[in-house]
Amino acid sequence: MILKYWVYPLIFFLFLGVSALADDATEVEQLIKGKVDQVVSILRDKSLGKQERNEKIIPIVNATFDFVSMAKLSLGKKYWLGFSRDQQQEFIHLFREQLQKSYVDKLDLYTDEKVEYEPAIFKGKKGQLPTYLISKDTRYSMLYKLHNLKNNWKIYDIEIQGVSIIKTYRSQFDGELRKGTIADLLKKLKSPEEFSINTVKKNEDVVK
Amino acid sequence: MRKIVQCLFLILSLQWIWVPAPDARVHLSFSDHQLGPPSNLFLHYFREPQDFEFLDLSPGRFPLSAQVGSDPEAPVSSDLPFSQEDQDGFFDEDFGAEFEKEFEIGANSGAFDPLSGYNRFMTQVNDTFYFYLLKPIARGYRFVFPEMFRISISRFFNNLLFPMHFVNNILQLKFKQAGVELVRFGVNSTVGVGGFWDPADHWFDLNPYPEDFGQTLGFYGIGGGFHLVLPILGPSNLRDFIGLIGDFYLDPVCYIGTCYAGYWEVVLGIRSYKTINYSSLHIGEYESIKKDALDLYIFIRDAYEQKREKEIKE
Repeated sequence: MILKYWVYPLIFFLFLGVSALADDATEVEQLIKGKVDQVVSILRDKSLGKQERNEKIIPIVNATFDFVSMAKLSLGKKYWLGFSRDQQQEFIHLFREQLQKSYVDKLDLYTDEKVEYEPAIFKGKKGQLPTYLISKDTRYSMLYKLHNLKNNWKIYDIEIQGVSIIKTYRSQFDGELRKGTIADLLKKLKSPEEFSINTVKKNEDVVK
Repeated sequence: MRKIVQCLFLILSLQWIWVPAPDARVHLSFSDHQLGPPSNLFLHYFREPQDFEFLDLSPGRFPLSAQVGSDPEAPVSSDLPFSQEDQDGFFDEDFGAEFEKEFEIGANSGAFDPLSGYNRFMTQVNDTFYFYLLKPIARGYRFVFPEMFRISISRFFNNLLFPMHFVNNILQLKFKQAGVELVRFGVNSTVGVGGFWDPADHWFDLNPYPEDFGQTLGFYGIGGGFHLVLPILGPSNLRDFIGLIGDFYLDPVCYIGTCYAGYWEVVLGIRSYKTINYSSLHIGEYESIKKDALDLYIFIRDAYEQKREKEIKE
């Protein structure tokens, strides 16, 4: 009889815990699958011009990515706290634009690739969804890293073939900030044509 | 009892309405921001998404909307709540610190780069080589031959890498993967007609496990050493450069040269063809990477080291 008093709550809480975990996994998988499907269906719609296509895709990207955290992480604590509030705001804005542009550019390379999903993995408040992009002759691994931001799962990093977007930006920003000032970096972000050593064919149209 | 609970809930919910509001007002007068629409700014100062269900967040409701017209993408981004309420507090929170650890610039990513001058130069040389020689040839080649044909050629060459994959899987004690590679080679060389087709993948879902000698060295704990950009072959490091020599001798193409002494041109020709065929299938990828780069050399170096680190870990 005594059993009854603690066993049922125990079972109840166990069940609650398990289902909460399972919910996170399905939620993340559904979220990414849904967004990828949305983007792919837009890409397959050949009636859309490039401009129209991008206009449709950018809201989807904005709703899925946590650009603010990404901007902060790409600078790292050391540099982020050295930015004035205005500089921080400007940096977030420019970084977001840069990422959006880069994402939209990548879509030009899309040619009917298929996406395979693997079960999501959770570590604390963060989740990772491994996927594969099956292209002509290569399997690209793409790992979506998400964290729970106010009850919404948001992407804070993507690893393509093990290469983290945030990490590559971080070491580049680190390099820039060692060479120059914060103002220099912001200026450089504002005018992408002045990037780096490559003046040759910078704006050559990708692919065709 | 129920009444007390109800009262508590009422008080709590009232708090949510009243507490953040003055805060929000103060920050809304903060004028020289560069961010998205005002709804973003507003959302920013609330704590939970459900807290502003009662609010009408349509753009234009707040006096700042006139300022943000300059950003063409602003209207579509209104579903992006500007997240952390305290900009500077982000890294103090537990998960902020956790994030910080995740993205720490590792010891392997170029802190030690004695050849950076040469590497930068060689990156530029390879860049020029790609745009002025390889890419035009690959484009012409792509124009002439259909994609299916080029994919088959690529599969054929990949099939020939079997000795390299197999030996390195064995050396890393990955016997199951070695077995998969063995089956793949057997099936693809016979049913797949000399490797031009990939039935192992299409029918049996057997994906390749490409392991090279550099990964084997890494598996036994040998670090990358300094970064090294090779002419034409691109980014590498000391360990992988040594690995390349081992791989070279496990590539059957190399033995054409040794079987028929003096035919090194043939080997070079085959290798060039392989490179052109590969490039024809991947035109646009390098260009798109380049567009993203603030500093091309650093970008490629870092991406290379990260990629290798992952490959070795697996």
